[in-house]
Amino acid sequence: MKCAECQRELSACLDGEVTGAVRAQMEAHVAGCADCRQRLTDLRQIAAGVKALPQLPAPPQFMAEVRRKIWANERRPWFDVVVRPVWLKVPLEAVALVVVLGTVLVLVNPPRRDTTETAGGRGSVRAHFRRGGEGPPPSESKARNEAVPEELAKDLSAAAPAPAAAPTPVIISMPQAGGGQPLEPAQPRRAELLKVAKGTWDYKSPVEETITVEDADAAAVQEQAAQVAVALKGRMLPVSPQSASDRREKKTDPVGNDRALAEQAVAAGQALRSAPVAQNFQVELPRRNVVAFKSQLMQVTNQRQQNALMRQRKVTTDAVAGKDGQDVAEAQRLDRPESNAVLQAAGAKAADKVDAEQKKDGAAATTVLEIQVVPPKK
Amino acid sequence: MATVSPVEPVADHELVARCRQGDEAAFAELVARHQHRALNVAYQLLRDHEDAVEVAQDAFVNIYRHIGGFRGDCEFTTWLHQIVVNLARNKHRWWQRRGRHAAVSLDDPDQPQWAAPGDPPDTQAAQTEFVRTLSEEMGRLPVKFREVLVLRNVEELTYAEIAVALRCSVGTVKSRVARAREELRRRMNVEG
Repeated sequence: MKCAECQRELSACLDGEVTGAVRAQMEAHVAGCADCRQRLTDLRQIAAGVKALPQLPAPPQFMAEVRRKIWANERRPWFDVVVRPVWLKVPLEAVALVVVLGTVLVLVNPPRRDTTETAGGRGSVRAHFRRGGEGPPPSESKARNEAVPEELAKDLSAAAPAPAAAPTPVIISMPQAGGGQPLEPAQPRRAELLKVAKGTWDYKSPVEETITVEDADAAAVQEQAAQVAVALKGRMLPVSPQSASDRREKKTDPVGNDRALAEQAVAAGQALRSAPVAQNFQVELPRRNVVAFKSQLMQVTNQRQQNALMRQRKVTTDAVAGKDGQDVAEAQRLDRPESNAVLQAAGAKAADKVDAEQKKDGAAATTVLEIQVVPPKK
Repeated sequence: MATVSPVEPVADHELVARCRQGDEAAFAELVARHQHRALNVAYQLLRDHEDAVEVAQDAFVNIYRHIGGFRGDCEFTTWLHQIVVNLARNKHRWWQRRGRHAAVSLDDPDQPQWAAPGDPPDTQAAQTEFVRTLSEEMGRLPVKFREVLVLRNVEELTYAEIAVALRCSVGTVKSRVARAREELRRRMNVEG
């Protein structure tokens, strides 16, 4: 037997775990090998030392403590026994923690619902446009409108009742508060308003709003409306009904020059003189210019009516004084240049504002307004 | 003259049988008979007095709870060692995760004298020093080496019994014993 093999079996031999034959060979080798003999001595001493390690005395209450633990274990409730194992307890606790945290998060931060609600609340929000009464909506008053004389505004509003047979006017009214009084529009943003109002409009009808003008001269109203529309980068729609697609294809030529715009407005008005006069006609113009259009139209219409009134009084006076009626026609002809000049100035001024705003906001969507000319009430 | 036959101690397997029938006294006898064994094995493995007491007590609680399933295919002591070693391993791993390294306190008043009272003072001092050093080195050994050494040299179990207690093969026990002793020898010789 060699040293390596002997040293490998020394520990087992010491413990009596080798066969008799192996033991004999090892004893013979150890007798002649000092190194293996020393190893064997060391291993014996270590074994004896381990055996002599301190013996821990049993505490006096050892059995009593064992009994107490047995009793405590037997009295545990069944659920404690079931969930006691760590391998089950930890996952259950983790799941419970996740559930609790998730519930708390949902209660604290409820999921948002995508709504189109505005200040008016659910459903269709409707804002009441005050036409001609106290003035334009406050959100657009400063930016777009010229100052409208209150007297003329009141006259126009009094002279423009809602016609029974006319199409329903634009329909945006605020939800009724307590007492049945319409709420003041809470400065609704234009985008929200249009977004909500879409749900209440009939897409099949291209007319967004109907404006009723009490005037005996429908042609003049039509002419002036056309001029104002062109000045505000809009156009007069043909009197004959047209499809919406045809209307969309025809785009207004962009005008980069204010004077050219005003000249176009005058030319458009002059061109309409040869066109058939219609009691109802439509204009198409950018949405942003709707209020300006109404304001301008109201202004020029009022001025023309005022001039006509003054002429009538003069004619009456002249008639009394002996002048003939030719002066009336002459005065009416002379009326046009005044209105044209006003239109040119108003159109140029409005175009400035419109250009500034459109450049700021980008391309504006168009809308169609219908103007109804009704005879004034006597 | 009447002779009194010495009362032979009841064998462990009989006590176990009585325990399975609900004999509390038999269980108490088993505890009294083997509590030192459980304590010492636990102490050598854990090197902490309180942990060793707790592990030994828990071992007997487990025996009481599962004595109905003990089939008797091994000695009761083998089964006891098995439970003690498992509980000691769990406790050791528990402390290991918390970074505690057990070490024997040389100033522990519970530690007995290493040398026999009749030995010469020099011998006593040398033996005390040797065992003290050995105890320290035992604490530094891996747990698996400590287990086999304690069960072999303290409990004097055979390799086969150790294999059952540790749930490994006899060859593994043989190898571990040899390596553990060789390691201790090497360390003792280096320090000595």
